[in-house]
Amino acid sequence: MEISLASYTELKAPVRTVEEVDLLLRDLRPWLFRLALAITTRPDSAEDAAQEALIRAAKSRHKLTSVQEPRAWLRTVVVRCALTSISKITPERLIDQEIHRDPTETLAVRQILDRMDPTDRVVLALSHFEELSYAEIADTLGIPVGTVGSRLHSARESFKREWTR
Amino acid sequence: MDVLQQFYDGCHSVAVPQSLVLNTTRSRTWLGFAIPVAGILAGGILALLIVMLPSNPSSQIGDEMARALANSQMRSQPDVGGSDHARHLGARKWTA
Repeated sequence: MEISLASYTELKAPVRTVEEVDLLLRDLRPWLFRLALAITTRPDSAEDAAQEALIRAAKSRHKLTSVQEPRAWLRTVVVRCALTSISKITPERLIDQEIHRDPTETLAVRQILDRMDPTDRVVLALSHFEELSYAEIADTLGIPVGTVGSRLHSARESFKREWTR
Repeated sequence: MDVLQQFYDGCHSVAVPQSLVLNTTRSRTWLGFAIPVAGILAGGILALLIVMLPSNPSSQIGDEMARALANSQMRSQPDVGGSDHARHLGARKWTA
């Protein structure tokens, strides 16, 4: 699942040093984790996804020196890592976490999100957590803008239906 | 839908785990290290076994049997060598 930097590289000359890339990655670390958490809804899965994204970024740090918008590249990376992390959640692990849940509103939201399709969760997270435009979500996920609109609408409807049940 | 937005707003203030670090040497895929090491060890053991085992055990046993047979045949043959003959001639000369 290698994410090409080509589409994100617009400048031929480096705009920052490798040390600056490292500093940037350190600064973006909390954001990476929280975005992953918004998608996965689980701290352990979010940590896995964020760590994987950081490892990939560290491997590509020399290339990141000439990327104009490293945050956009990292967003795509962490979204994909989060989706992979969701797919690794086994039923046993889900059951284990269900046992330890407590009946707060936040966890009730999380339970509904857990039951939703991961691609719907990603669109919701990018829209509500990242507050991205349809075009930015489309760029991040590599899907048409029209698909973003329909997917977001169906995801919201799906959530509303489950919440009012 | 307010509850959904509240959930995502809440995500902004969640504490980041201390274990989440930017470390270029850190790798979660420990198998990437373990598999090559196990491969090298297995290869070494296999090479050692190949060196220690005789190249053709059946022919070596055959050689040893042939050598043992030859030795036993040599011991069973009568001594008609020159030494006894010379002693015999010497005795005749002496008596003559």
